[in-house]
Parts: sequence; C-alpha cells; structure tokens
Amino acid sequence: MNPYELLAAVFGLGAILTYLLGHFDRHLKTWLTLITLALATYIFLHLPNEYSLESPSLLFGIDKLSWLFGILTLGLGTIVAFALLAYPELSPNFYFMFILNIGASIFLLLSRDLVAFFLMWELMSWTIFAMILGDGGAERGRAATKYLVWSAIGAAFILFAFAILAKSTNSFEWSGIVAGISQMPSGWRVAAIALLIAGFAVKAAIMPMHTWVPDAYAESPHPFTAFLSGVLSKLGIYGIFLAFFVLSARFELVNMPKIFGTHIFGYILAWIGALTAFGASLIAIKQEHAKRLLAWSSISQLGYILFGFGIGSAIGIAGALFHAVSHALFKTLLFLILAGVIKRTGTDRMAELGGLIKKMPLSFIFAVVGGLALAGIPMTIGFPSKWLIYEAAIHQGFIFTTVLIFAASTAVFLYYYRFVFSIFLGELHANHQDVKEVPFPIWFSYILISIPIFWLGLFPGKAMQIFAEIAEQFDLPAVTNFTATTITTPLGSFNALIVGLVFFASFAFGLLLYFIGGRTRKVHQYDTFLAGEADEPVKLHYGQRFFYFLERELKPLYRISVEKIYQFVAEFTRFVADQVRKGFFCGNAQAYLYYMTIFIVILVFAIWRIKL
Amino acid sequence: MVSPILLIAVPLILAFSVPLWGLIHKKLEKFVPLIAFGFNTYLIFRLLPFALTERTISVVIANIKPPFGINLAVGPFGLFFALIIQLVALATAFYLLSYDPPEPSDKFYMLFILLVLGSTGMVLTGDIFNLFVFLEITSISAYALTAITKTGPAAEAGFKYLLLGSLGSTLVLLGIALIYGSLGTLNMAHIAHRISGMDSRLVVAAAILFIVGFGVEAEMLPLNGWVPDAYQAAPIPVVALLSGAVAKAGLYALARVLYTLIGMPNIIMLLLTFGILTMFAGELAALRQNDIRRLLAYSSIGQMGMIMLAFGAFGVNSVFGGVLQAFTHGITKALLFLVLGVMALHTGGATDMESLRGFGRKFPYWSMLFAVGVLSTLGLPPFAGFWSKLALIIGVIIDGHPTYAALALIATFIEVFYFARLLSVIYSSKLSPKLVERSIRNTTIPLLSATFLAAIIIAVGLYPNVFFDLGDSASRALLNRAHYIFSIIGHYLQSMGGV
Amino acid sequence: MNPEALGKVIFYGSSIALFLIGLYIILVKRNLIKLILGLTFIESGVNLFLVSIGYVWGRTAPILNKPELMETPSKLAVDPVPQALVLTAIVIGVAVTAMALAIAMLIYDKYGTLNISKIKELKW
Repeated sequence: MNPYELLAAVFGLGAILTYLLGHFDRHLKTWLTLITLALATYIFLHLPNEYSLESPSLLFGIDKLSWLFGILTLGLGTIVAFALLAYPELSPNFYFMFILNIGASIFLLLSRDLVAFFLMWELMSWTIFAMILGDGGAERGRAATKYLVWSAIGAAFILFAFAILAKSTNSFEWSGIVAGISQMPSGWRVAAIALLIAGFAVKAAIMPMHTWVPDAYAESPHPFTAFLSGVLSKLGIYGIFLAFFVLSARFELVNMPKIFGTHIFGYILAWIGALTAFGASLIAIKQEHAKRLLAWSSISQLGYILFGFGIGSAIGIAGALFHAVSHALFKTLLFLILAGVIKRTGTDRMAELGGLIKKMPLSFIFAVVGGLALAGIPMTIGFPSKWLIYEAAIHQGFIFTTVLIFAASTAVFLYYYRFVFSIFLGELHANHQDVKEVPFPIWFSYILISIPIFWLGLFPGKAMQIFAEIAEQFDLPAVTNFTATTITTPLGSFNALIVGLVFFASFAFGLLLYFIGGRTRKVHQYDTFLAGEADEPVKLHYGQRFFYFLERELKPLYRISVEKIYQFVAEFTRFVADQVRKGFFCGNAQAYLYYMTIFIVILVFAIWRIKL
Repeated sequence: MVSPILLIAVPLILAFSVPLWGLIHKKLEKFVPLIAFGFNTYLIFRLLPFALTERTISVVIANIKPPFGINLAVGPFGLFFALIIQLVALATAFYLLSYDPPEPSDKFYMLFILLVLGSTGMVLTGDIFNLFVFLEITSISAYALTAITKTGPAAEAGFKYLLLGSLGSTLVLLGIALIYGSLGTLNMAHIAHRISGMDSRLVVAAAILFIVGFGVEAEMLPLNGWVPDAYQAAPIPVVALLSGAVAKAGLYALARVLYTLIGMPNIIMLLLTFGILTMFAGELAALRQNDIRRLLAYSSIGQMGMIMLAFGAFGVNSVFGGVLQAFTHGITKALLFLVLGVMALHTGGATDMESLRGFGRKFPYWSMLFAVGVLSTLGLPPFAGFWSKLALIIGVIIDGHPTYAALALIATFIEVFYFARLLSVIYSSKLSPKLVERSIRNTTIPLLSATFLAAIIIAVGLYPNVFFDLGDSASRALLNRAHYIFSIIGHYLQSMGGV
Repeated sequence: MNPEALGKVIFYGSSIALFLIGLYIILVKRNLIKLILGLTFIESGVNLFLVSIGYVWGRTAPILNKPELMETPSKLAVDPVPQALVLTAIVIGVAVTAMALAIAMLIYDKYGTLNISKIKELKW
C-alpha cells in the first residue's frame, strides 16, 4: 500500500477508533491518539516524493517546506496530546476532531493541487470549530461562531483566488500554475495573490483579519489553545509563503516599482506585519485575562513573521521561517503552562492570581524559559530568529517599520513581565493555599518542548540548514553563511553557543549570589507594615490594571479598533435582514400576488432592454 | 432495458390502490409508498448506466411516435433529477412507517405517492402539455398535503401556496397556448427545432410566462412567499418532499424550457440576477429566525437561488455545478427536515431554537446526523456539499461570471453564521427544559431513514467520481440542444426531408 | 374588417379581458371567495384563449360523425388538439377551485374571517 494512503488510513482509523473506544476508559482515548500520531510521524518521515490519487484526482507530494511544517505539526501535536493525559474530562468527540485536524493539516502540507489543498483546508477549519465549541456554553458558542464565519471568509478568498488562477493558467496543479502565471495579465496576477494572502491571513491572525483570535483562544479548551496558537496559525503562514513565494513565481518578473530594494507588494506586506506586531502588542499590555494576553501576543508575533516575508531578502525569509518555528515552540509552551495554572486554580484573571511560585515552582521555571524565548534572549531559540528579522530590516533600509518592530519588542517585555509577575510572583491568594504543581503529563511536556528551545537556541545552524534548503528549492535568496553555532550576515555575525553560554554563566552567577550572599529573613506574607496600623493582614498584591499609567497615555491609540467596523457591518446586515424578513415575507398572500404581477412587468422591461 | 414508463405507471396504480389496502387492514396503508418508491429507486438504478452514456432515449407511449404522440424523453439530465427525487422519496417513505399520518390516512398516502409521481413525470416527459399536467398533479397534491393537518396555520399556508401556485400554472398554460398557436406542436423537441420560426416577441412572452410559472415551484424570488409558511405548517415528511422533490422538479422544468425550448442566452442569463437576489433574500431572512423550520425553509430558498445562479451562467462547468448542488441540496435538506421531525418529537412539537438547546448532549447520534446535514449545506468536506459547492463556484467563475460567484460567496458568509449559531445552540451545555426524558416512541425507523440519507452524503463526499460522471453527462445533455432534438424526433425530421 | 379578423379580435380580446378582470379581482378584493372567483376568471380567460387558437374560420367541430368529415378531416374540422387541452385544463381548474373552497372553509372555521389581509398568523 502506498505510504500516502497508509497515512490517510492511519489518521482515519485512528480518529474513528478513538471515538468509538474512547468511552471505555478515561485515558484510553489519549493513548490511542498518541499511538495514531506516533504511527503517522513514522510514516511521514518516510514518505516518497510524489503521489497522485486517481479518483477524485488529487496530487500530493513532499518537499522540504512541507517537511518542516509537518514535523512541527506532528511533534507539537504529539506533545500536546501527551499533555492531554491530564485532561480526561475531554470527550472522545474532541479527540476525534483532534486527530482529523492533524490529519487534514498534514495532508494540507502535502497537497500539490488546488482541490486537494482546499479540501484539506476546509476539513482542518471546521474541526477547529468543533474543538473550540467543545462542551458548549454561551460564550464558547459565540467565539466558535465568530471563528467559523471568519474562516469561511478566508476560505472564500482562497477559493476565489484559486478559481481565477485555475481559469487563467488552465491548470489545477501547483506546477501548472507556477508555469502559467507569468502569462497572466499582471493586474489579475497581483489580485489573485493578494486575495490568497488575505485568505490565509485569517488563519495566520494578521490584522485586520484577526478579530476572531482573542475570543477563540480565550474560550477554547486550554490545552487545545496551545495547539491552535502554536501549530494551526503556522498553516496560515505556510499558505502565505506558498502564495507569495511559490505561486507568484517571483514577482520581479512583474513590472512594479520597488521601495528600498523591495518589490512594492512585499513592502506593503512588511508594513502590515509591522503594524500587526506593534498594534497587537499594545493591546496585549492592557489585558486582564492571561489567555487573552497570550492571544494578542500571538497575533503580534505572527506579524513579525509576515514582516520577515515582506522584506523578502535572504535574511528576511530565513528569519521569518525561524521565527515561525520558534513561535510555535514557545507559544505552545506558554499556553500549556497557562493551561496548567488554570487547571489548578480555576481562573486566568491575573488580578486573582499571584504568588504561585511557591506552589508551582516548575511551572515558574518554564514560564521564565518561555518568556526568554518570547523576548528573544540568547540561549533560547527566540534570539536567532528575532536577530535575523532585525538584521533583515536594517539591512534592507526600512526605517519606520523597524521602529515599530522594536517598539513591539519592548512591549513584549512589558506584557511578559506582567504575565509572570501577576501569576507567579507577588502574594499568594488565600484560595490558592492548597494548589499543587501540575501533574506529570503537563510538566513533562514542558521539558519536551524546552529541549528544542535550548538546542536550536545554542546550535541554530541545524535550523538554518533547513531554511537554506527550502529557499534554494524555491529559487529564493538563501542565507548560506552559517555553521552549526554561528550565523553570519552582511551586517555581522554571532556565535549562538558562546553568547548563550555567556548569558547562562551570568545568570548562574546571579543565581549563586541570590542563594549564598545577602542576609535575608523569611517573613510571613501578610506581615506587612502599614505605617502604624497593623490590625488585619491586607493583600498588597499589585495585579490589577498593571499598566494603567501607560494605557492613560496611549488612550488615543487604543481608540483605533477594527472590531468596531465589523460590529457595524454585522449590525447593518442584521438590520437589512430584518427589513427583508418583515418587509418582503409579510405573510399577506395578496402582497405575494402583487409581487408576481410586478415581477412580470419587470421581466418585460428587463428583456426589452437586453434585446434592444 | 426496463421501460421507464413503469416509473410513473407503477406508483400510479399503487396510489389509487391505497384505500383498497386500507379496507383489508389499516396498518397496511403506510407500506404502499415504501413499495412504490422502493421499486422506483430500483428502477432508477437499473436505468443509471444509460444516464452515463449521454444518449437521450425516447420512450414512445401508445405506439404513436413523436412528434404526434406523447413521449418520455429519458436523458441524463432528466434521469439525474429523477434519481434525486426517488432517493428523497424512498427515505421519506421509509420515515412514514413510524409517522402518525393525519386523518384521513389513506388519502394522505395517496396524495403522497401522487406528489412524487407528479415530480417524476415532470422530469421525464418530452411533451410540454404533459409537463403542465404533471405540474398540476404535483401542485394540487402539494396544496392538499400542506393543508392536510387541518389546523389554522396549515390551512393558511395551503391557501397561500394554492393562490400563487395556481396562478403560476395558469400562466404556464398561457405560455403553452402561445407556443402551440405559433408552432402547432406540443412536443418539446419539435418546439425546440421550430422555435426560430416563431415571432420573437411571442417567444419572449412565452419565456416570461414560463419563468414566472415554473419559478413559483422552484422557489424563485419574488414568487416564494409561500415557502416559509408551507414548510412551517406542512407535516415533516411532506416538507422533506417539497424541498427535495417538488422544488427540484420545478427547477428542472425551468431549465428545460429555457435551455432546450427557448434557448436564448440573454434570457437564461436573467437567472443570474434573480438567482443571486433569491439567494440573498433567503440567507438574510434566515439570519433572524428562531424557529428552525422557518430557518431551514429560508435556507432552502437561498440554496435554490444559488442553483438557479449556476444555471443562469449558461456554461458546461456552471451547469455541472448546479446539477451537483441540486442533488446535494435535495438529499441534505431532506435529512435535516427528517432529523428535525424527530427532534420535535422530543420537545412535544416545538421547533424553535431555545426548546432544542442542548439536544446534542442528550442525543449525540441524532445531533451527529443533523451536524452532517449542516456541514454538507455549508460545503465542508468530507461531505457531498463540498464537491458540489466547489464545482459550482469554480464553474461559474470559469464560465465568465466572477462577480456573481463572489456575491454568492458573500451570501454564504451569512449562511455560515446562522448555521454555526444553530450548531452551538444544539451542542450547548445548557439543557432546554422541554427536552423530555423518555423517548416518545421507538425511533429506529426514522433513524435508519436519516442514516440512509447521511450515508449517501458521506459516500458521495468520499468517492465523488460516479457523482461527477453523472453530473457531467447531465450538464452536457442539457446544453446539447441539437442532440436532444435529434434523439427524439430525428427520424421524423429525416422522413420530412432532411434535418 | 372581414369577419375572420373580427372573430379573432372578439375571441382573443374577450379572453384577455377575462384574464385582466380576474387579475384585477385577485389583486384588489379581500374576500377569500372573491379571490377564488378571480382565479376562476383567470383560468377561464386562458382556456378561452387556448381554445380560440384552434379555431379556423368556417370549419366545424372535430367530431367525426359525417362521411365528408371522415374523409378529409384536416380540411373541414377545427384543430382538435386545443379542445383536448382545454378539456384537461377545465378539469384541473375545477379541482383547484374545489380544493381552494375547501381550504377557505377550513380557514373560516379556524380564523373566523375570510378577509385575506387578516389571515397573517404565519409571517416573517
């Protein structure tokens, strides 16, 4: 049996078996999922190059790009599935959708023609809806509906663009489209690619298609949010890469102006990415719920990736791909940590949390690890990826967008610190005195994810190798000047290992000082001095409206909201719908007869005008 | 080869025999529709290979050859629609086995069979007056079945349907009169052959009359005022048929008359405009509905609008998509209505969204069937709706009408919204107080019936190739006017001295 | 104007007049029974139109009861086809009217009124 068919069978059977047998034992469904994913990973790693299905005619194949995203999907999917062992309350329905979703994502990455791609895209999309909906509930329903409508909008853009491409190039396969697209009139070509990118931007949470993200992330089952943010948004990134670099067949062939040496299309994309990064990180600062904070952070980081793609130079592309990988890793880690916290304390409102370092030290350590990666500190994978993006921007000469990106990074420090402080530092809430550390499956998954975070942070060459191969495969500029530990660009180079070790040494030194030196006296949390008044212990935890002073200063900026436009459109549609309903379908049979008569008159006029 | 005339003759005999069975034993009556449509479905499957060969067979009746006699024109396009009708009828007939019929029950079953018979006759006939007669059979049975429960709303809905429907049929008759007056023949192939000799103003007049007349049955705007009321008041199996069989037959008639008889692209392209208007009106009105029956009725209007749009685009690819979408829509809406019928049993008859909140938690299998229907309507894989919607949109764009395709896609956003909301209510964690604990009756039979329809949707979704072949022959057959004319009256034309 | 053309004008004109009267009734009158009557007018108009199409000046009914007729019916009788069509159509019209009246009775029973603008329970 062909490995592709085998892979499909594994996913299909795995999903069905998990659903059917999942009722028998609480953990059986998770183990079945893990087995399915393990089998799938094995087959995936050994796939031959091409495969075509006869009926209906679909084409599949694997290349380096698909391999990269596929490994990311399967790897992180397996780790999240392992963490799910701590969530036996999720129904077998959820696991069914989960396996289907991963299967669809993998085959999406393997698709080499329009129909297969669109089929897998839609399958992947609606299984997410089912998983967000989960157990139901008013807020969940609303968030899931919003997601599905946005997903449909994105899918419509993609379908329309595909149809235009298929019609113009007379082919449904990637290879045919790439060959034929240069013959398209450049207006249509740009329009098709732009539509495609806009469609993928919905999944990739790029502004202004991002409004579904905070609600969907906040309401979906907590470990699933890790997967949603870490992996599934990258499928949108894959789509954007495909549209912008592969299908467009090198925009240089199109006669369009260049700014700063970049094709104008890429320049616009870079601006959109930079604005997304900056805007989303500002909004992340003022969030009160940790899940929403991380959601806006995700939107922001995805903006970085688009920024790198927009620049389009060797460093830019490599940086963007690297950041995709790194974001997948550290965001999954952060969401899993948050999931663990919510599991133990029942809330993600940062005003109600605090001091959990005493009860959940492991989670704290890994939260710091995740934060280091998010902020782009050496030792972690975040550093090379962010460094490459900054280098690319400066090298290309973009000034304003670089300012935006740097401002976004500063904002990362702000909201990240708030995240760690509000949850782990400060005073422990009275309700949380009995909180325990997260169960084994969850903290083990922390370790599993942290391994590549450090490994690729110290030895980025491995990753650079893959990115170079991908770039070369698609005839894109590639960064080739790297070794296992150093990366060199026209602007400079760094040795990740050495820099990482230096950071680690200084960190270790600080830790040493903390434990040995200084005279500290342990004091009870509520033993506070209140200028003479000391009757009742008072909680002095600074957890609410953390950055109020900043919000006050930035108020005009915060007024800009795309969501308001969408609300207006939704209200208007509802209004029109009511008019149609009450005005037209009024219930009076005689009115309907009038419509019929008027219709005849209209038809007479219409045909008169057409024929004459 | 089995004669297709049996598709009409056998149910006709069985229909009028229902009271006789009833004399023997009351319970025997409800098996008659099942026998009739079981036989019909079997017959259709025997005839399907012919549908794939792209030949149009002329079945001569009473040994009087066309164009003088009435004939059946059994071609790929007609057979495809007949397939849709029989499948829906079979599932619904099976559902009837556990359904409490309104009194008088023998007339109910009789009218039921006649309704399907009329629709089947409409799609298989080759004579235009025959088409009119079958249209009337279908319509009158439909009016009666809508009002059969004899409640106030049922009578009101039946009356509205009757007013609009009979006015429409009369207009069709007027159109036939115009055509006969000018051309002297009633055979569709002969009319198609001779229509170029008719005064073009009269042709246009006839076309307008046909559009309005058949448009009432095909749920076109602005003739579809009766639809939400009829779907709300008629018994559930009847609604499934109205949506799955009658509307499709009306659409067939519209397409056949405009493509084969009149054949003017300008007029056909009017369907683009009215199709998109119908679609928007249907989807917008569904947006604010709380009663699921009405919601599905408006959704049905919207989908019929989309299919009409596809037929309006006048190209092989778009008609292909339209034909596929007709199949999917018929089966899917029937599934949705049948499941809704069972859901209503559990709430004591209420079909509004709040009463059915949380249904998914208590009855996972039924909700799964409902979800299959919803997802197929939205055009999501791995269900049949995915392929048909894909083919439709891509077909309309390839045939040169990207704006209409874009508008249709925009209308689907509204559809996604209200269906997603419906699904989240059904799978809500809160349970509606009306959901009764015990099962009202044994629901195995409706379960099998609904599963049958869902199985078709999933099977076609996973292995769409046969489906594509059938749709392809059907769309080519519709556009191939010359072939139709030749198959039916070729010999006659030759005997008259050259084609 | 010769009698033939006059005949045509009378037949077609009156059928159109019947049609328009019926149209007027169903658009303007409120009473259900009047609406049904209007429908009947429309149907009558169309039937008259259809039957008039078959009429040929100076010919007789297509009933083969005389030897001359049986020899060359096509030259001596009017077109029989519209007559058959109209027979069918009249029967259909009767059926529809009967059903409409039955439903109207039911409506009166349940709603207490025959005013169509008041029968609006199902709406929107």
